[in-house]
Parts: sequence; C-alpha cells; structure tokens
Amino acid sequence: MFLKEIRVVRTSPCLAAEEMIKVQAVLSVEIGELMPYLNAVLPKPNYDPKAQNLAFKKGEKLILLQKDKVAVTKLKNITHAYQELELLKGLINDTYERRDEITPIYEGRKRVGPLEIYKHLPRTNCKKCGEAACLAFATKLVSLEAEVNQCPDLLTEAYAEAKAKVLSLLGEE
Amino acid sequence: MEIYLDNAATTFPKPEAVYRAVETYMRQNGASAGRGHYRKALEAEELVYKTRAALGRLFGIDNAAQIIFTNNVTDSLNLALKGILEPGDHVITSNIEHNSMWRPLKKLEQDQNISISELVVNPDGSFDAGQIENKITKKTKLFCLLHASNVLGSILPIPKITEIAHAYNIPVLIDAAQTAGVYPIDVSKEGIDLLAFTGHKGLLGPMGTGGLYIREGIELKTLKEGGTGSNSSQEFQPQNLPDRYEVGTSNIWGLVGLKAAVEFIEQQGIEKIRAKEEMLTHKLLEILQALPGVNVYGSLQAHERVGLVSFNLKEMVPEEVAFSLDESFGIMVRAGLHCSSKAHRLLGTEKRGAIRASVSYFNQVEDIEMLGEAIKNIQAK
Repeated sequence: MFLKEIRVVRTSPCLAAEEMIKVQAVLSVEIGELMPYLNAVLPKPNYDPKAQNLAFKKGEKLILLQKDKVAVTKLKNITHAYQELELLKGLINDTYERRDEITPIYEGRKRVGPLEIYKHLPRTNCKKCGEAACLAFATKLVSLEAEVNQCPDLLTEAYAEAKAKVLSLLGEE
Repeated sequence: MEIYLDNAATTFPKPEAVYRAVETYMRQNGASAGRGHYRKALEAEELVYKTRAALGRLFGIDNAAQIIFTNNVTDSLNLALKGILEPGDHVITSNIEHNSMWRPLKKLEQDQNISISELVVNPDGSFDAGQIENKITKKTKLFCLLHASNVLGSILPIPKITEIAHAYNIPVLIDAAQTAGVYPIDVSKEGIDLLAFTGHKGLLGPMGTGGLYIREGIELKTLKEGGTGSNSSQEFQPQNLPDRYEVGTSNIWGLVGLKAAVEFIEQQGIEKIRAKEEMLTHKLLEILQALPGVNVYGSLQAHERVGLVSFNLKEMVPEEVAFSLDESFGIMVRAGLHCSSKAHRLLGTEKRGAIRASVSYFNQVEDIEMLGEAIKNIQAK
C-alpha cells in the first residue's frame, strides 16, 4: 500500500460552524509527486504546484492536502473525521494505483496565498487572534490552522465586507 | 481437563490477540477517547473508530457512524425499543424471545399501553412465513425479534420478515445475540433497520461491549444524556451519531479487545467459522440423539440452527446433570431457563428448564464426544 496511514494529530472545534470540528492529520508518505494526478481526478480543486498544496470542497467540508499532512474542516464529530480520512486514504491509494492511466495536470487553479488574504485583514498586528502578526494569521488561515472568527476586528460591522472577501478567497463561503 | 460448552452465554476462550490488545492498551495507553488533545487520547480515539469500522465491514454497514456502542445487547434493545415506540403503538415479536427483548416490551405494555403480537415458531424450530402479514395492523410500529433462539437454536428467516415489513414501511429490529460473529449478517442485503449485538458471545470480544446499528433516517429518543466529549458548550445532547447515544466514558479497553476479536473473525472468515460450528452442532445432535433417554429440543438439522443444543435426560433435574458434568468430568454446560421462559413454555419445560450445550469456534469434536461419554456415565449411575 502506498499510503499506509493518516494519523490525526489534532482536533479542535470549528469556530465558523457551531457543533462542528476540524482535524489535522499527518500522512505516512509524502504525496507531493502524486498531486498533479489528484489534481486531475478531483472535481475543481485549487492546486498550487509550487507550494505543493491542493484544496477541495466536499459537501460542506473543506479539505486541504499538503505534501505530508492534511486538514479537514466542518466535520460533525471525530467518528466522521476518521471516516473522511479513510475515504481520503482510499482516494490517494486508488489514484496512486491508477496513475499510469491518469493524465496528470501540472498547473491548476491556485489556492489563495497568505499575501492576498493579508491585504484584507485589519493589519493592526493586535495579536488578539493568538498570532504574533496579521501576516502569520493569514498564513494559518490559508493552511486551515486558524479560522476567520479568531480575528475580533473582522467580526465587526466595519470589516463585514473584508470578512466576506476573506471567506470567499479561502473557499469557505 | 476442562471442557467449556457454555458459549451461548459467553464465549471462552477468546482469541489470543484479544488478550494481547487489551493488555497493551491498558499498560501502554490507558487514555479516554474523545476527552483529550494529546497523542494517547487521539490514539484511543482511533482505536474506537477502528472497532466501529471493523464491525461495519462485518455487518455490511457502509457508514460506521451509525453503529452505537453499548454495554451489551440488552442495552441496545432497550435503546431501540424505548427510543422508537410511542404510547399506543403495536409491535410484532416472536413467541421465543429472550427476556432482554421480552421484559422491555412488557414494561412498555404496562407503562405506555403498547400492544404486542407474536409470530409463532414451532417447537421443532419451523416457522411459517405466511403468518407475518396477518399480524400487521395500522398501529404496527416495529418488528422486533431475535435472529436465533438461545434455547431452540433455530434461525429465523430474517430476509422474508424484512421484505414483508418493508412493504408496509415498518422497520425491523433484530436481536443478533446468538448470531453476530458466527453467522453471516449483512444489514443492507437482509434489510435490517436496527441490529442489536453483543461483543462477548460469537464476536469473541470482552464482556461489557455491544452495540446497536441504526439505519440512517431512523430517529431514536435518547435514554441517557451526558458528556460526549464533543459540543461541550451546548446544553443539549448533540444530534449527530454516534455521539448522540454514547454518553460517559466508554469501555475503551473492552472496545480495543472487540476490535482484535472482529479482526480475528475477518482473518478466519465468517463462512469458515460458521462451517466449523455447524459441524460441531451436527456432532452434538448426532451424539445426543443416539443416547437413550435423551430428549433433544428444536430442529434436528444443524444447518437450521446456531451452535447450541438444549436437551433433557429422562427424569433427571437439569441443574443436577449440569452439576455432575462439571463435578465429575469438568464439562461446563448451562441448566435452567436461559432467561427465556417464553421458549421453555413453548417446549413445555417452563417449570423444569433444560440443559444447554453450546459450542464455539475453539471447541473440538472430542469435546462433544466427551460430553456424550459423560452423559452415558451419569445415566448409568
């Protein structure tokens, strides 16, 4: 088997969705070289060949694959998280098995980068989100390690438009 | 030497891997699932999920989140019956139910005014499917019956029952206490809407483990509310499965053992396990029938039953026979009513009870032969 294990390393509540959780997990092998194949197989993913990340939506859930890890948001509970990761493992292994039949796509719709997100943040470096600076927060937003709701300023009326923009750039709205 | 022939009560021994898995978890992990964000807690969580997934594979359940862990099959049946039935509802069960089904139904009859009809299984284990449709009324909310009798050993024709029930949009709850792990079960192929099972019998796992499969779309009222380790800021029980029905700290070392047990069953193959038990049951029937003064209950065909045979020795008290078998020969069998006075009423043994010998995958033909020799010896005294 190509990918033997996806191991959950962190679970936390989804701030954006009540009663939902997100998980972060690590992959037992690096899948960077398989990404162009996954890019060809998945429906409308955001693929960034340089950063080696691939994001796609599945129902409400947003899945962000990186070369050695994965994050999934908006899961109902931990059981659903494991189910989703098992399906993902199946998809990765199946794609690997069939890679000779798949025409890889090396360029893709790039996922938004930290700088683009940063442009719409308050840029006050107030640290209320738990990060040292807005750019660091933007980086974590892109990798699904942070959520928009962690920024108190973005939740105010004045930033409503900016918040909507950030969510749409992240593919969460 | 000891010979254990009470596997219908609980199986013994368990696969070696079960002991090892439980010990490894207890010594090296010991954390509670769903209650922490450190590595061991997540490992425990993963083990619980893998137990669910293994059971899903075994029972043909695509979405393992629809499997709820409980303490045993009695727990599962109580949740299913009390979760689905409303005052005035009508249910269809059988005339050979175990008390784990019958007593909750009687309680609901008393408290909620439900009405109960019984499908008739005959003393020889035969069942006429023609009677099913006649029992259905406008108020019928549920079919609830055992898959195989713990007294007669007979296996009920589940697909026939579910086919008719579903034609009237009535869900079917199956008590798989005597079949899970030893007889092939596929909930989607057989149309089972609710499957109650226990971990410590045919599934070869530890006591204190069990579960209920709930088909997607079926809503059960909760019997218990409490901590789930999820959505803790909410004052009410989360609605999503399995969290909705699993409260309090789970029996994780039990579940870890159950995982190893189900994986053992998968490795061996359920067909191979069934074949061995059928062979041993055939041997039991053959040896017991050949003995003069032995009255064997239920079908005489091994393929129509699970691995247990109830019988009586002429004019002997079952408990005394069981005592002598253990005392003089180290053979352990069950005697009495087996928590199923209904089945014994059918057999006319509700006062006397019976002796029950039941096999597992780990018994050998010699065990059955020894039982036969021991009975001859007791009869000769």
